[in-house]
Formats: sequence, C-alpha cells, structure tokens
Amino acid sequence: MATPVPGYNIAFKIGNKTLAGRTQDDLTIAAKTKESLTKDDSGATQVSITGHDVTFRATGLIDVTSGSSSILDRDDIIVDVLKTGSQAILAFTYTTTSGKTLSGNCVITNYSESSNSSDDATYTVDFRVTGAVTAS
Amino acid sequence: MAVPGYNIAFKLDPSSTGDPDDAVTIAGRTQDDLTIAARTKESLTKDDQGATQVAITGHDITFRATGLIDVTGDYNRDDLIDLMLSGDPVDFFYVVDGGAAYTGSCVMTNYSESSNASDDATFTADFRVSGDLELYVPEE
Repeated sequence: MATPVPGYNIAFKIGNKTLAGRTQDDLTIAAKTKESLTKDDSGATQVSITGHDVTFRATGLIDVTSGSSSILDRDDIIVDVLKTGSQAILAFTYTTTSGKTLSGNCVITNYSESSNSSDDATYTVDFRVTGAVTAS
Repeated sequence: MAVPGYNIAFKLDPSSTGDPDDAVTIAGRTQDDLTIAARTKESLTKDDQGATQVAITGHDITFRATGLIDVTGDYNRDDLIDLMLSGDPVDFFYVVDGGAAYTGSCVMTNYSESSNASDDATFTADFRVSGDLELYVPEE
C-alpha cells in the first residue's frame, strides 16, 4: 500500500534555513542527453545520459518579519539573490521525512515578486545546482 | 506573517528627491511585479563528470507595473507616456511596509494599453533597472 508524503513534509533549505512563507517546493532533474544513429541502428536512435541539470523552485507568501536562525525572510533572500561570483554559491538541502536528503551547492537564477490589490504578495525563487548532488 | 499585496509599492521619483516618501505611485495601479534574473556562465570540464559548474556574473532587474488607466491622478497615464517617449532614466523606490526598501535608476522599456467594450481600460509598463539595485538607507 502506498504511503503518500504530505507536501509539508518536504523542505528545501538554504544554509539549513527554510524560506519564510513557503507554500511550495519544486524539484526538477533534467537529463542532458546525447544521441547517436548509425546505419546499423536501422532508424532506432541510441540515447545516453551525459549529466543532469538540477533545479529547484521555491514559491511562497512574502514575509518580512519571520527571519531567524532557521528561517530566511524576504529581505534575507534578496541579499542572497543579488550576490555574484563565489559569494553566490549557496549550500542547499532538500529533505523528505523518512526519505533521502539531497544536498549540494546552488545559485539563484531568478527571483520574482508579485503583489496585487487583493491578495497576499507572493514570491518565486529559482535555484540551479552547480556541481554534483549528493543523496544520503 | 504574509504581506498583503497592497502594502508593496513601486514608486517613481522623477524629481530625484532621494526620499521614498516624496516619490509617487502610478495612478490606478493594481499590481507591481519585480523580477531579478541572474546572468550565468557555465563551465564543464572532463573532471566535472557531467556536473555543470554555474557561476553568477550579474543580474537583470525589471519591474512591471499594471493598472487601470487614470488620466487625473498624481502620476497618471499621460505622465507614463511622456516618460516612455522621452527615453530618460528615472529614479525609483520599491517599498514594502515593514521590510527593506530598494532604490535605483531605471528606464521604461515597454508601455502598452488595452481597452475593450466592457471593462475599464488597463495599462502595463515595464521598467529595467540601469545600474545597481541598492538598499535604501534613510539619512540620519
């Protein structure tokens, strides 16, 4: 019998801190492929994996008051967003209760905020892994 | 604690007062969007074994202001069109109640209007930051 994992039991963390106001964490692992097709393949393309592009997207409600030793609030996130060079490389973990934890380094490739007249303001942050991912 | 959308404001400072309280919001505004996109460079050596190394070299920062067209407010539709056609840079502030405020200079890169038979006419204005996005620190 399947044991589904509630979404709130999965957490993406930067420097062991979750993002304030978080509502959703998305992980994408896209394979980089190379193809070959010889005459002897008779039209059946051979595909092999040469590596992976690993990205995370964190979405949430903007929160400017909950920053702490375990939480990055909106202003903390923007500080990281604007970093360049070696300072922009951030350690991450992606934890699932009772499952494996993914860890490694990443950079922030996109940050956006949206605020309208009637709803709570929201943010979206895109992270791209630099280097290898460890599953433990 | 979540921030209501109406507590965030993109403000223009055409007189370069340097004070967010003297900067103006755009009349009829309904939505302000901020996007910070990293410019990246990649490297991949044989020893990386397929794990691409990614570095951040800079950022492209844009704002999008959306609203209902208003020709009577303080900084209204006609002012936006004047700004667009001038091509001049304009100072801005991006403020959040209870949070940090950011400032810098931007140029308007796109302006559009939409008007149909049944709804209020709307505008969309796109701004791109020229130079750095700076944390605003009030003078003592």
